[in-house]
Amino acid sequence: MQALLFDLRHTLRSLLNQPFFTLTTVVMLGMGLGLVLFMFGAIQSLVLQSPPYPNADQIAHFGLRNSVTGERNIRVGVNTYLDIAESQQSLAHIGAFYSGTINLSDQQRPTRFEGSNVTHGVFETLGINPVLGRVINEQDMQVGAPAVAVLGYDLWQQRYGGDASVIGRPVRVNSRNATIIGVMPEGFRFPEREDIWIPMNLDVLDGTRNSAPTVEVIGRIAAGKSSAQAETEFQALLERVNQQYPQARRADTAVVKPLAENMVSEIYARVLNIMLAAVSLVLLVACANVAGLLSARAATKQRERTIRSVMGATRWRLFWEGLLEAGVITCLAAAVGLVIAKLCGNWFMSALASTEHPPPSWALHFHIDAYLIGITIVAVALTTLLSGFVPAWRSSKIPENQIMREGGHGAISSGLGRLGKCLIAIEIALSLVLLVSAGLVIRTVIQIENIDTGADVHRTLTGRLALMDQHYRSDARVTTQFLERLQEDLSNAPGIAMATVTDTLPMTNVRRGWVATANMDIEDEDHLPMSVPIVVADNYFNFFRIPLVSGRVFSQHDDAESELVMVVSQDLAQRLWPQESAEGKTLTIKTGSGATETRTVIGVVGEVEYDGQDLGFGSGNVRVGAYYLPLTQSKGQFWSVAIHTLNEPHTVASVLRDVVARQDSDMPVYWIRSMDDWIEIASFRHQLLATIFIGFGIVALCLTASGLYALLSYTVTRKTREIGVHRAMGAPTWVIVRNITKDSLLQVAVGSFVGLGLSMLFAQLLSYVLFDVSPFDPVSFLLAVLFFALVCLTASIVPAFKAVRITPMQALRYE
Amino acid sequence: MSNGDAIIQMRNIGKVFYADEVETHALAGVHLDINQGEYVSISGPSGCGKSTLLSILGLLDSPSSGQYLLANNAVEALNRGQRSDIRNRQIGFIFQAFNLIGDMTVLENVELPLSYRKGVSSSERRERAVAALEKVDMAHRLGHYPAQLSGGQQQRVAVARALVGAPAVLLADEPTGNLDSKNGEQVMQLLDELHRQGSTICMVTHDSRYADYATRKIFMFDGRIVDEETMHRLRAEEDYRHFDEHKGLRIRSA
Ligand SMILES: Nc1ncnc2c1ncn2[C@@H]1O[C@H](COP(=O)(O)OP(=O)(O)O)[C@@H](O)[C@H]1O
Ligand SMILES: [Mg+2]
Repeated sequence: MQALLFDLRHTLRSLLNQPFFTLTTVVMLGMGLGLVLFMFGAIQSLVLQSPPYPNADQIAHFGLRNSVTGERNIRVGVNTYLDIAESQQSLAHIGAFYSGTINLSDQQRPTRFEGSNVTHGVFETLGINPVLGRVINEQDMQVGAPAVAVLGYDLWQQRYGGDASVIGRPVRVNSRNATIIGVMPEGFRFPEREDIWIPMNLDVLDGTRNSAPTVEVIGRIAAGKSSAQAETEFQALLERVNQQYPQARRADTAVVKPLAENMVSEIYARVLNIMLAAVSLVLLVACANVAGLLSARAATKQRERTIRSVMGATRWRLFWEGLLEAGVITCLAAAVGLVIAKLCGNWFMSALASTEHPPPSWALHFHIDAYLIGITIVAVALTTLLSGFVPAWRSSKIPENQIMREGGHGAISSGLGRLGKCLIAIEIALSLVLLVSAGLVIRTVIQIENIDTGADVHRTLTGRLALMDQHYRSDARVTTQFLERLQEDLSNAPGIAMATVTDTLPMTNVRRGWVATANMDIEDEDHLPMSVPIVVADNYFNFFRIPLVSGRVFSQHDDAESELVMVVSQDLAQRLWPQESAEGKTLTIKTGSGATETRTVIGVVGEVEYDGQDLGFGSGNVRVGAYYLPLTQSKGQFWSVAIHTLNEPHTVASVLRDVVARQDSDMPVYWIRSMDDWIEIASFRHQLLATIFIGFGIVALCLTASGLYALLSYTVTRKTREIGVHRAMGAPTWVIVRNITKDSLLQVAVGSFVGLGLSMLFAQLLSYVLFDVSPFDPVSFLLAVLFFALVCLTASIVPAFKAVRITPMQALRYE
Repeated sequence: MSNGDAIIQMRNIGKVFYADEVETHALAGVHLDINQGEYVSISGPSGCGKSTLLSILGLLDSPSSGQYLLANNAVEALNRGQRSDIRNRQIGFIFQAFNLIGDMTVLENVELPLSYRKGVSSSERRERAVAALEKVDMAHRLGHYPAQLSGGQQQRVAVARALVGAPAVLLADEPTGNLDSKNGEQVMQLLDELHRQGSTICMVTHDSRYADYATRKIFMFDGRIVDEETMHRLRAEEDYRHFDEHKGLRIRSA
């Protein structure tokens, strides 16, 4: 301990005496550590953190795993929820919910909020009490009970100015008269960013079991019970139900997990892990760089160590001192790193918050907490070893008898050269991996932004409508008429060339539905092919200029009374009837309300890209085609209108609003976006990823360039006398340059070669986030290598220039 | 010559260096005993092996052949760690180039050997270092850095550092080599005083004035210990040979 303090004091002082060295190494490692801590912090916030509810670990989430496909479903049918609620023995509270957008109108303009339909028991399960009024109770759930709404704190503040008298105030919610009954505390936004809660309509249980709407179910584990017990009960329940309804039998097993694990999408976890792998490479580059600098410094301190060894310092003591030096630098770097991590974290979280489907708001805070400090300590220990071990070990080997010789240094310098070259090759290889990765992600962004959607999306403005009022729901014809009239009014409005209606726009889809040909078993849902269902007005194909491949598209004659028809996309037709014509074939599908119906295929059209958000993230890359149903033969509450505008799309946003308001003053138009906006949204997460990877690449590149520069400068210094002699004998400039760079060229070549190999491996990991870009994309690889070569060249110029200017006289004076 | 008092006993020590395929016989057949309390000077022409002998005496290097007993312990059998420990406890070094550590203060430099010993508290370390610095009359410069001291002062600090661990032997390699005669004289007087207080000293010097301080003078020539007259004779012969060679060269080139 005494000795530790003695050494520590000396180490600190000698680092202070070389501020430039200390600053350089601290900043280098600080950047590497900062990025790693940033990633760990982000993973902690987004993936590991439990939600901010009292004893959140006691809140269980009920889901299913399909034992055929292995896929996990976080939602269960409403009936299943009711069955669990009735039969469970291990929960203190249970509740179900699903999210959507909720129309709220009062004296002010109707507005759509993100809201959640919940059962009573949800708030009790979460353990959160309202700040004002009450939460939804069992009476509110009864069929025919007066409609109520619970407001979120922010909504209350912004719309009602925090007025306590809102309790009991009448409003219209989803076109029904309702009363505000409570206000939730600040920061409470459940399940993700919802701001209003209304009782779930349980009056939909007329269909078959499999067609019931799905909900998420949560429960608070009762004292003395466990989630394993809850899972056993749930499993027993599923088996009972399967026996009771053999025709609706599903191959599902019960999965009861902590709520926290279901809050953030799996995509985030995967992407964050990929990024963690990338930042680890950055940290390794930083470690290699600092190891090189520490070795160079150790070489200059060789005499000092020899003196210590002569005085009786053991090899271990000298080794330990070398490590201590690396440790002190790493600790300082960790402080810098935490600052960098916090800055990156804040930026990242606010960027994520502005994405289309952001994670829950409570997950969007970057904390430097005990967890991150713990990670920091581990990272410091590892980094110290990685950057300090080799230099400390090498320099602790002392030829003591050298002390008697004047000067006392000798053998070690050439050895440093070899180690330095090795480290540089490693840095080059790792940096190249990061550059190639950045290249691949940038290419993905470019691919998405220039995506050929298969539809004409030029000058197209879109908006979303929710038809909530009872009269729309009771009669499908009312909806059809409303939409047809809207379409017509819009077409005639100023500045608008054409309008169409659909339930799903290109680049915005998140849904899948199964299809069954005549010879497939529709009871066996788990094995049926999946595709994307799209409901469209008859001018939809014309509007988006989707080419007709064969047959015909919908016409005015396809209405509610005529034969049920559909149009399929080329991909789907190919998949279902590879050898035959699709026209005249029949397909069975499941409707929005859960019933099955069989339709005749009347035509085949070109492919349109529907998957937006998840495009380029794992499953988004699987092409499933699409099938189209005529609006006149379908039901639905949520619709998009699309209009071709004569000028810049957003200039007619108010026209769109006015036309809708003229038909239904209670109906807000939300998501007013151009198709270009939607495409931008689809690429936003990749843009974020690309920004981050570019950051990683640049940091690694700077580190490597400075490492290369240092190595070359060192070579020049070491070879000054040699160069002087060459000069004295009349060597031309290129000989000098070759002499200096020939070693480093080899390192660059070897490093690049290894780096390209590693890049191919890393690209496999990265392929999860790539869209329409091969992990071996030659353009990305080539550009990365060229860019890299340019930077290496630049880093070599100054030292080479220094070498060229060495005169014979200088060489002779040089000590 | 050997007796129980001999703290150093060297028998037939040889040292061969192999460098670039060239064998250098730096020492050959060296017998040397040094008794407790003796003050021995070693002199001889440059390259005759004085420093090599001192390195072996100080356990900085191992002999290629022969036997070396330090305080009646055979040193050949010791491993690196044990050698470090013995260097730390039994031997104090003084170098021509002072070899103080630049970014440690005078006090810290002197504390250094004690910092490698287990069981020396920091207060004891400091006390002993200050006491050693008082002995060399440098106690008024505790917080200075070596660069702020004159050569003579630095060498006195180095002497304090050699003393601080109460070693059995002080080894000095040309301690006055980098000093002017006034400062050199001061350091010699310091060593003389230490000797009178009971220290065993072994000093390499090629300056006969300083060799006179010693109680016993040893002469080396070409890796061997010789007596004074032999040395002078060999030296004279060598000079003659050189002269002859030069003459020969001149004749040949003429
Ligand atoms: N580490 C070594 N490697 C090779 N040769 C050495 C080494 N140390 C000393 N020598 C050689 O051994 C001989 C004696 O050297 P040294 O003991 O330094 O002489 P002195 O100190 O008497 O001037 C010289 O020829 C020298 O070149
Ligand atoms: Mg010498």
